[in-house]
Amino acid sequence: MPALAASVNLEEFQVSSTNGFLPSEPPLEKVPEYYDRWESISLRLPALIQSNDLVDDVTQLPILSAKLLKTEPEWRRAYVLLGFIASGYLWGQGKAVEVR
Amino acid sequence: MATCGDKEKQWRYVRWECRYRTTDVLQRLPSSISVPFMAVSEHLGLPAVPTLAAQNLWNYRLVDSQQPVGNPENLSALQTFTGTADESWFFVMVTAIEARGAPIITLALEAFDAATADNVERLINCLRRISEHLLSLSELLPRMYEQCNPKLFYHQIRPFLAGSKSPQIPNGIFYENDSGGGSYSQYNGPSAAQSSLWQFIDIALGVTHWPTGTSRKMNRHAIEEFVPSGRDAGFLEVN
Repeated sequence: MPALAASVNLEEFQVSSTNGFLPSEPPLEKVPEYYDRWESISLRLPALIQSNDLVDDVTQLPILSAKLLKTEPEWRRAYVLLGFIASGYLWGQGKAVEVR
Repeated sequence: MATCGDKEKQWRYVRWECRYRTTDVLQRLPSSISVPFMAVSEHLGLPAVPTLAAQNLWNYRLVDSQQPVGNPENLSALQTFTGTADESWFFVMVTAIEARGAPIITLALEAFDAATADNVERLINCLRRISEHLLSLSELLPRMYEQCNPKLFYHQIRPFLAGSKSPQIPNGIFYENDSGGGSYSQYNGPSAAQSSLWQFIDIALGVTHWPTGTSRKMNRHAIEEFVPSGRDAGFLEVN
């Protein structure tokens, strides 16, 4: 039976011998320019949630295609942005707006 | 009353509230978010909700690039819901734990090899070094209290971590598609239980978990759903 330590290529599974399941390089901090509107909302996310303007911003957002994401770091950054915007949108409304 | 400005905005809020609101929760994710979110999630092999990967693995920057990722003081969250230092600390503490636990992966593989080769001395050495790393990790978690106020966490941060599943929304969240339709989905929010590192450690050390209740069998599929497919999941299967 081949030795595991020698035969398992961690990189093949995108596992880093130094950073484990974290990426081998620090995460991307910006996606391509085409997705600037996601970045803009994310940058202002806490303020938009506080002022109850996030619903408006999201409503006015066009559907941007994911096809312009090229590298894995770009896909991951997009996942972070959209995840935070989605949760902020779904769960950030109760504080500012009364239920009728 | 919504404090949103002009009449058009107010009308929009009324419409949203009447159609979709139940106890302060919007139940419909608009297509501008859900369509790309589902595409990105499919590519990464993850559900279309924030997960440990989004919140902790891919959401940090180094304060000093020459200092280790395993020091939470050297990390800052790229994205938060509240903009508070508490939330950033809450996220990066888990990031630091993941980084500090990294050497355990190679050590565990070497331990397997030592056991297979019947090399007791080498096996003991590997296990001793693994326990030292685990002790280092256990020293990190209590430090959560240094910069994350529990009350602030519970009342201001935690509500955002529900994913698309909550007793308030029995059907989950409706994810709009780009054809005017969509479907409901329910996913748990981010949790340390989604950590590939801890699942790997459990596998390596033969740790078995039993959830509370009558069943003694842990449904690993529920956890593996949150491990990015094609990478971590494959690695866990190999081992």
